[in-house]
Amino acid sequence: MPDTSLVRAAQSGDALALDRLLDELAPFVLRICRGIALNHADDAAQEALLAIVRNLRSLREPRALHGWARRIATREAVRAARSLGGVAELPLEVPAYGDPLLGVEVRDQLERLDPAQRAIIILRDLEGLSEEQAAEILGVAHGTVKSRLHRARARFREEWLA
Amino acid sequence: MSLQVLDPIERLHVIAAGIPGAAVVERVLDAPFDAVWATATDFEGALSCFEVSVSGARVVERDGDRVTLESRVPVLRFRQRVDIHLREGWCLMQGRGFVAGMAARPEGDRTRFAHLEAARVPGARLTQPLIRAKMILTRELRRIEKLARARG
Repeated sequence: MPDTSLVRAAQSGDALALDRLLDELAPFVLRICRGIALNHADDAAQEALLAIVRNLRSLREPRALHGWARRIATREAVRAARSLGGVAELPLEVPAYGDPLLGVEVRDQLERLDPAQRAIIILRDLEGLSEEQAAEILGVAHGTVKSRLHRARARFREEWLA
Repeated sequence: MSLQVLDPIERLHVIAAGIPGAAVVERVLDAPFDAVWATATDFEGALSCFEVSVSGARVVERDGDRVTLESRVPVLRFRQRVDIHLREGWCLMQGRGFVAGMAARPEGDRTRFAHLEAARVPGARLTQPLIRAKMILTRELRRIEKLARARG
């Protein structure tokens, strides 16, 4: 839950409040971008933070900050992954899943998915969002999320067992 | 997982995007980072030599990376409180009527430096157009470079 008075202060032009908010949001945005945009995550995170800061005044409900920022970060990460292409490797800093070797395997499998499939797995299975929330963030219908998630998991399973 | 998303220069551009009317100038200064940063953050010494809107300053409080300054405004001769967030390569200052920022990173033997200025008064940019603000910032960067070279 964000500090709502900090968000309000940043919205009203308090630069030091904006600076503190950036400290809070930057790692959160980077985590989303790393999962989706892989080795283009830094570019995606920078674009996302610019969009967040530029549009902060349009956020009506400060408590919704993280959901709103997540939506922007996901959009920028998918855009970066698609437009920059050539995703060569997952950064090692992606959070581990327990066993380090298992983590490497999972990351390797995620890398084989296309950005849209990777985004849905990140939002549902790593970020723990509902299908409705993921649909809103990705700007697609609920049914699209269901089918995309089904295909992404099937593809993941197929690669995993191959 | 590293939490460092933006270097100080990139961070200053992000902050500028959130401040209406902010002017930013970025240059590579011909002086080493340590000398440049020591000069730029010498609030009680060098600040009034490169910043035209300050005729003197005194640090009244330091608490970790937060600094409070009392600065004197030339001509008008009043004092104002300035709150500062200060880290290596990062300095964001805010008074009642203004925001100023400085960010730097080493670039070989030289220093990439960005300087931000914005008025916190609605319509201020009408009385001081962006191009004039950038000219003033450029002049201040030259002064910082000169002072840093003398120091280094």
